[in-house]
Amino acid sequence: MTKGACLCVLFIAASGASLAALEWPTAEIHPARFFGQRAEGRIERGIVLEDVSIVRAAGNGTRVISMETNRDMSGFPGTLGNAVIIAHDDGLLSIYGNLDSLDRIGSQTQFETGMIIASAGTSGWTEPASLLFQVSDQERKTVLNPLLVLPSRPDSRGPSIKNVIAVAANNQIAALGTAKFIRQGQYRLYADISDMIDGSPTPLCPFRVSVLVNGSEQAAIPFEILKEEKGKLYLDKIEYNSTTLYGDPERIYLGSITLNRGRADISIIARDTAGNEKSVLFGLQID
Amino acid sequence: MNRGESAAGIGQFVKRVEGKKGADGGMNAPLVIRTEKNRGFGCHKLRKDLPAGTAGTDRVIRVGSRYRDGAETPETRRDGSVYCAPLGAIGQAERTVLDINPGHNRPVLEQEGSSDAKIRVRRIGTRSRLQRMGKQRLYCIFHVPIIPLETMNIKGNLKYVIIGSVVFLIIYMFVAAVPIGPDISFSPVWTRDITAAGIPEAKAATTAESPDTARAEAFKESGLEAFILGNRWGYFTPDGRILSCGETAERASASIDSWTVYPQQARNTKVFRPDGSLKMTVAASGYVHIDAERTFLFLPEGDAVSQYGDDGVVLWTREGTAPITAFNSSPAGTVIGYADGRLTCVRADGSDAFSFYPGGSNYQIILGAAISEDGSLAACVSGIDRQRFLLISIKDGQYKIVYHAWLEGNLREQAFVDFEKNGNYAFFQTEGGLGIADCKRHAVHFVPVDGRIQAVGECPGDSLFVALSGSHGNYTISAIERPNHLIAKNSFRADNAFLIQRETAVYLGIDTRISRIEIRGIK
Repeated sequence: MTKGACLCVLFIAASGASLAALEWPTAEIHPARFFGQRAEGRIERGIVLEDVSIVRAAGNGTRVISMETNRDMSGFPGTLGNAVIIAHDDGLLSIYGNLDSLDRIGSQTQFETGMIIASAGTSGWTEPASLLFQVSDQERKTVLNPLLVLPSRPDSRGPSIKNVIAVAANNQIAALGTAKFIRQGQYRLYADISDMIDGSPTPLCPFRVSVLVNGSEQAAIPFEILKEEKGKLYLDKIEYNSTTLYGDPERIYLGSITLNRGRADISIIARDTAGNEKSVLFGLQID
Repeated sequence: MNRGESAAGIGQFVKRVEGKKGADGGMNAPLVIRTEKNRGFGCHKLRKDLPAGTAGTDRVIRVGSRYRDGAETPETRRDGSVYCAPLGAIGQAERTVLDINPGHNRPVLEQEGSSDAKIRVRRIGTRSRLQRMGKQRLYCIFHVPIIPLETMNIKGNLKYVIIGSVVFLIIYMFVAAVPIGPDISFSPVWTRDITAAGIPEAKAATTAESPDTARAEAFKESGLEAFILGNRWGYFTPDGRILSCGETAERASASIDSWTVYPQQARNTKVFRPDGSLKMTVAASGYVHIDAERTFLFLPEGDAVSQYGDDGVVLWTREGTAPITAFNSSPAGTVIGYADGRLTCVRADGSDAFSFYPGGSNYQIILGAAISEDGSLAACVSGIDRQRFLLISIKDGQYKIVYHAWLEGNLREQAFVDFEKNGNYAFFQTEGGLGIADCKRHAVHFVPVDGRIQAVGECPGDSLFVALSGSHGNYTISAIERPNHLIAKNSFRADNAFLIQRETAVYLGIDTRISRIEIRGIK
């Protein structure tokens, strides 16, 4: 192995180690939803783990708040239910929602990785015995995909791409799987894209989706961070907010593309966090 | 003079110090300071080895009030001599005389910060040869005129003193008399058991979408109050009629305007008026929160909230990059606090009044926030490690932090923050109890209160208000006189409790009972 290759391997290893800033908050990992996934027509802010018994601290840190389910008239009904938020040294906040009770925490303020916080319960807006786990970056003022800071899991299954449609400005719909000719113009692309992981039957959200027209990337959705602008959260671009991204009840909005007269090869590529990739190619004649 | 003696003597009215000349002509013998305290006399010994005598000169030390420093009036002594000697003892450093602080001409242990009673040495010097006759004297002159004891004819004046005192006391009793107000008392007016039989129609009303007209009329009367007690909610009137009482295993939200119940995974929640008629449907997922006539929906992801109009249309939505940790609304707007330390204020029309990070703490977080009834003030409790209270003025489209106070301790739970309706005071939870902010004078007061603040009564004016604190199991009701005088408190055991105060009427709910208590005797 050459010296350059060795350095490259070391850099990748170091990068991987530093990225895994947190540990999984549960021993058994049964994901129900991933970051960015559709959840009640909106963008999921973290990951939802189901069949959870014990919830543990994902990293060393300081508890900044414990929130109790409000059942009287003195507060507001937070949908995280009983929740704990821990601040970590690197400016990250790890958020644990839908806990059964906060009694176990008591007056504990300092947490170490793996320390028991509570059991999952029914206090928040999610399925019973599920954990709502989110990561917020206080320094960059973003919501972070927890998979970016959690150890990667072995996964050999790639995403799937189905039901791709192009919607014209006049709302005329063309199914790219069957259409051979469409008119030139601007189109909004939608597709049913999901990712499966080993040992789980639940369809999850991919990590990145790209749209290429004749080899040129015209749209991309990185499911990495959520930014906020004017009280609205979005992925990468303001157009990828809850309203637009999941406006179609079954498909994800992939972006807007412009098709000019002639031959057009439209590629849609979906990738998961393990690097598994799936792509589909549609060859169209543009009139 | 050692330190203890000095400190003891300075706080008292020292009138005269006399000492006997020692064998060497100085004051080597113990000196006695005669002091007057509360018109009596006490004695304090001076140290034996006062260095004044070793200097071989006669010394005079004048001790005077600091208010008379500028006068420098020579004092006439009993023997007719006048002291006006310069500083410094012959052959001896002045600081060795009576522990004088060099350069300041005062005893080292002089009581700093004292007012009139402050006595200090001003001049130290030698007496002239003519003045060195008889006993050596050390005069201490206080700010009150000194009448030599020997010149007072006590026996002759005593009867006048006594008569004068009696006359003064009699006059004082009539002139300075202040009428004593009535004692403050808490009088129970009524108590109702909300589970008692006799209100079946009320239970029906909480499930009916189309109530009968007669029932609707009953709910129109003014003064209707809403309650939530555990898994029961409903309405009652000031005269003690329980108009409705529903029971649910789910969650409930209620105000004097409307109510709703919804499950854990709530979708398309229906909101009803107090009489049970359908007001609107919130066509989305999340938890409905009703605050007076305003309806909000907290969205499932935990960092977003929408306000709905009476027709079920979304008025505005705000999403944040961290979970919502604080929320409060008034007719003028809504204030939202987030776990990442951002505080956002939304006007009633949906526009942003402000959105900023108060900061100032090691960990930024908004633990509680509130907006005043007219929307001119907002307040919040923020931060961990250097927690603080902020008062924010909102005026002409601008916002400004007009007051802040650092708080002791670190509260790590959601904090109660609320304004009085007139905006004069804000109440907030601290780790040690209840904080009361005077929004006009920009000052905060603290009252030690046990447990989490649940409610603070509304009683405008400089009067008494009540606060309910605690949580499932133990509650405490505290009566507090403004600004921070805790005059009474009582703890009780209960699974659930609520408190509403309207002027002098206090409604206290405990598990299955609601009571009205009238506060009598307050202004």
